[in-house]
Amino acid sequence: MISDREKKTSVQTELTDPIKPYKKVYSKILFILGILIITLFCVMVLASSIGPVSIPFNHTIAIALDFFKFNTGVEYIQRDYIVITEIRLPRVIVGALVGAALGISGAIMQGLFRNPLVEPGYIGVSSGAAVGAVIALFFGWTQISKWFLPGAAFLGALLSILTILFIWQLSRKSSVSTLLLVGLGINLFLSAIISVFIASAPSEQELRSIVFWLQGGFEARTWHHVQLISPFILGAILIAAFFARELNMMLLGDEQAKSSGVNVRKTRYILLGLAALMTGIGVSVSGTIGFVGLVVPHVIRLLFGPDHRILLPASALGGAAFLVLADLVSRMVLHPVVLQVGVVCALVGAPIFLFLILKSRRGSI
Amino acid sequence: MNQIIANNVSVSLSNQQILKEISLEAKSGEFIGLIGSNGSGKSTLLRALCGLIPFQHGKININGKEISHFIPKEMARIIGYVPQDTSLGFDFLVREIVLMGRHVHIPRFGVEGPKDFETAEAAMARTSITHLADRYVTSLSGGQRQMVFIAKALAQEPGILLFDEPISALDINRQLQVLELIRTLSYEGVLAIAALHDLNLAARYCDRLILIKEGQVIASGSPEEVLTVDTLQSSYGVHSVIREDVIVNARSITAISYDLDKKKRETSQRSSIHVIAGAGKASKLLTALYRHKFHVTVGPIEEHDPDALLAKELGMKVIAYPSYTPMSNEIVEQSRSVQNQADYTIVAPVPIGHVNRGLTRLLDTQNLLVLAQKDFQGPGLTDDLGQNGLSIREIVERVTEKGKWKVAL
Repeated sequence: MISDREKKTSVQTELTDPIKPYKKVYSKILFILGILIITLFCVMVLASSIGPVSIPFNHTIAIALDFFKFNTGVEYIQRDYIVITEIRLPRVIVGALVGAALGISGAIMQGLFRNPLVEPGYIGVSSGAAVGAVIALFFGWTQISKWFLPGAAFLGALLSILTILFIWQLSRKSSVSTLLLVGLGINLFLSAIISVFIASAPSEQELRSIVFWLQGGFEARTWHHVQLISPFILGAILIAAFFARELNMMLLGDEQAKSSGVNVRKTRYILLGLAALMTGIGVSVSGTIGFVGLVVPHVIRLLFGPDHRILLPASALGGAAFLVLADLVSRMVLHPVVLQVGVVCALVGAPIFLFLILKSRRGSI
Repeated sequence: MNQIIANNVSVSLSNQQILKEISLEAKSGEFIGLIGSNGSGKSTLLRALCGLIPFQHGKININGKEISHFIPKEMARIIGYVPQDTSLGFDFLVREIVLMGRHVHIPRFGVEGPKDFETAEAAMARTSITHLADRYVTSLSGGQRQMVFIAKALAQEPGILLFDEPISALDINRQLQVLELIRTLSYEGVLAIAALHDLNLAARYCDRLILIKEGQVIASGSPEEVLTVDTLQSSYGVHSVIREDVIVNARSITAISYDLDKKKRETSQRSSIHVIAGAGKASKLLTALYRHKFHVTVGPIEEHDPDALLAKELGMKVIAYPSYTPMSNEIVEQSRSVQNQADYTIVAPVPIGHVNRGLTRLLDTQNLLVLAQKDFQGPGLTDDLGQNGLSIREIVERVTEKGKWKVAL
């Protein structure tokens, strides 16, 4: 039995321990990320199991483990193995990767611009990619190679971000708000170009494929797609995560950040580059998917606060889970009619977003 | 040993020259106050000194190294900067903001360690904001936020600290607390430079003051050297009285009036007034006449009488005689001649005793106005004339050319 006196001293040391509140922050981060990882895992299993052919969850997990050479000994049908590994798993993984890319890019952009209404599309990456893809579809070049469409989209994204950065540098005030305005201007211009192509589409066939691409989707994505995008997206996420502290400090304003030792200019370029790269690569394989980059980081911020040490990884995980779920909804809800995933994102995301804004008791952002 | 040497630094922002060839030198242990009117360039100078804004001409050396050769992290280990505007749109905890000050001491791929946490806690304790540690910054008042950012700068542990108006948003308790803290830090070897608006507090706490006007240093040195009636007139455009405040052992500045055109004070076109004062009875009257720019003479009066000392500080002509000795006839006559030249003579309720009985002989001039003071007790100079006693306000109204100036006492 502990005497009263001992109890008292132990309470005192607990109170005066200066490290305790900080440790609590770390355990909070780990707890939140743990929950999100489990959520993402469950969503991915769910999305792999449900479809025209339903597969039990434990079989799905066993097949996936088998596929990655971990034999579990669970019995399953060979047909299910092919459905999972050839069709659903690559689709789900591409969805997760693109969702993660869009989510974290959105978080980065909102932090850089100190504005919660910004999304990766605002720096022109998405519309640039769209113009590239629309041109490829319009002229029917997609027949040449299956890589032509993502290639053209990525090229478009790259060209538009370079144009925007170039114009930004020309403007004498190179503030972030100027960049935002330049991005908006270029976006409007590119949207107009897309409209021109849609209006003058040679046939119903091209028109349909252009509209479909613009709505975004994950049909017939293969392991090639996974291989193509995963190193870039995972690498960029990893690098971006190391800039969480800098992003936090940049929220205090450029001068505060700089006088606290952040190389504001360099950090801004690196993070803009990473966001553009991730969005460009994501969009080039999925088509334009709006809303994920806007809603997911915002929701995460409303739930867990503005600390980028949580916000960046949580937005990546949240974006991945959200997009996989949206993809599942898009192919199941109105079956056999298939909605495009971009449409579902907007349909599902908008009400959630509005609800959270009304419910939020936290600060203005 | 930390050191800042600025040499002929000029700064232009959007084609407007803000600083013109500013030079200054400062080293560890000093607490320097930057003073000057709004828009004189104090903030710009501070921001130039810590590399936040580029300068066009001149050189800034920090610890012997050209400022442009520093990378931000290296710079921030030496210089901490507390901005004037600390508004923030994101709800971080106070503790997290303070911990951000540790960034410069954490390697690129590292995380904060126990030493960082302890330093952050110590910084909060020094600024007395430990009780706010778990509050969101967005829920704090402007003054509390200011303290948070000061704590953050302390957690950064720089050898040089720059403060942009650190006390403007604070209550008087916090003002003293912050200035005491900066003073203590400078005794510990920190070089502190602060832009300040409160001249009295600047005089009390700073080793040195630098007075800036339109981007140029117009005075630099100890508070006694910098704070003079003339420098305040030319930089702030106020007419002031500067006295020694014995309570805090520092210069005390009282701004009397402002001139929009910053010209020298003119008194000539106003009525001239002679005041028969003594025993501090006319102090309020003298300052009221002074504020309204009358040409005032005083006497005869003992040289150490509070009224005499005040009149001298206000630059009035005083006919004085040695204290504790009877008033001589010469003094009375000398005073009478001055009194006759004045437009008005005002008599204060001065107590009459053995030494100053001569005053009663001066009550026969035509231009006499009597100051009646309600709480005055005992035999006094105005007792016999009490019938037409006037308040200070009434007197000033009487001697002012009516309609030309509004009287506000």
